Amino acid sequence: MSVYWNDWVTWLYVYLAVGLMTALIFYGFSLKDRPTKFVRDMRSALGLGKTLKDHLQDILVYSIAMMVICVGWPGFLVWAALKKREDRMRELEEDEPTFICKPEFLVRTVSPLEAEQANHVHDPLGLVPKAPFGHLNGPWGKFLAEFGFEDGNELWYFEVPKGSSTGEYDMFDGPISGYAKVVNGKIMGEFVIEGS
Amino acid sequence: MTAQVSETLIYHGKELMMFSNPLDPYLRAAGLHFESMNTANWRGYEGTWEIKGSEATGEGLYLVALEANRSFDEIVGLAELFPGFPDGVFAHWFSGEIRLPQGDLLEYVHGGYASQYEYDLFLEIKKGLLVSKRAVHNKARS
Repeated sequence: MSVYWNDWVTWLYVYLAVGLMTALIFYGFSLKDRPTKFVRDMRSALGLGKTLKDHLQDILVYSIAMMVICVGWPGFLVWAALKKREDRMRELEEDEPTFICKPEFLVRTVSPLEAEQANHVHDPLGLVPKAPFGHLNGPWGKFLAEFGFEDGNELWYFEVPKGSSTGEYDMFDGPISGYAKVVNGKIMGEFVIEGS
Repeated sequence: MTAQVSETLIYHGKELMMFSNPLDPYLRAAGLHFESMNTANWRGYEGTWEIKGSEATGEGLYLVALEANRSFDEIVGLAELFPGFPDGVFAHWFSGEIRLPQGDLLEYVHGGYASQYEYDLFLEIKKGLLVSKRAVHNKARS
């Protein structure tokens, strides 16, 4: 049997064959999202199992979807690639820690020594430890230890003005102030010295 | 959400309910958290605070007692969290308003500190120091 590559019908068959393979791959992925046998059995036991009508409906829907993918598979591949990229970006965004400090709240760069000199706490009864940041001296030391003084790491003083909301779900209200670790313009850590 | 058990503030010798949590910023900065024992206390601790000082020295907010659940069977107090400060811990990490509800309960709300009382006394605190106060007369929401 010889193949006529100059014939457009041959190319149509090739196009549809690739489409069929794509549809089968999509079908395979859809099977992964099916409820497990345990869940299906539970639903049956609760009287929520699939009826014959539901099965027929599924067959109809899958058949139409397979035919549509066979014909328009290039579009589906582009859509799948874009969706995967979008999901990946969202995952990365969700994994990123959220800080109270946002770029618009950064005030000025300071050195650790300047920060310590500006934060000696005096209280009416004279009970606070005579160390920078008072009772927060320990957490400050931990923040500095994790800071990493490589080139490009900057220490910034920040202020969230009264009336502003910030943090995850905007759950913190100003006034808030503290120090932020900024690396190449991106906030990578923070030490809050005042908040509510 | 269940209504939350309040903190306590001693102000001019009176023990008042306090619908604010001034210890929270310290706990966040120190990376500490306590275990909740019941739904009426999600923060896992109850603190007693006092406004101490005088007009001459200024008045400040001090934590004077604490009962906190480090775990389900370990309760810690002020001495464990702030060793060496039995007379009080100055809340220099806190800036904001604290709310002290007073008078009759006008409306019970089963969530957070949302219940409404006859009066609210608000104390404005700046880095632990009392800077101003104001009172609000509430009316029952119809």
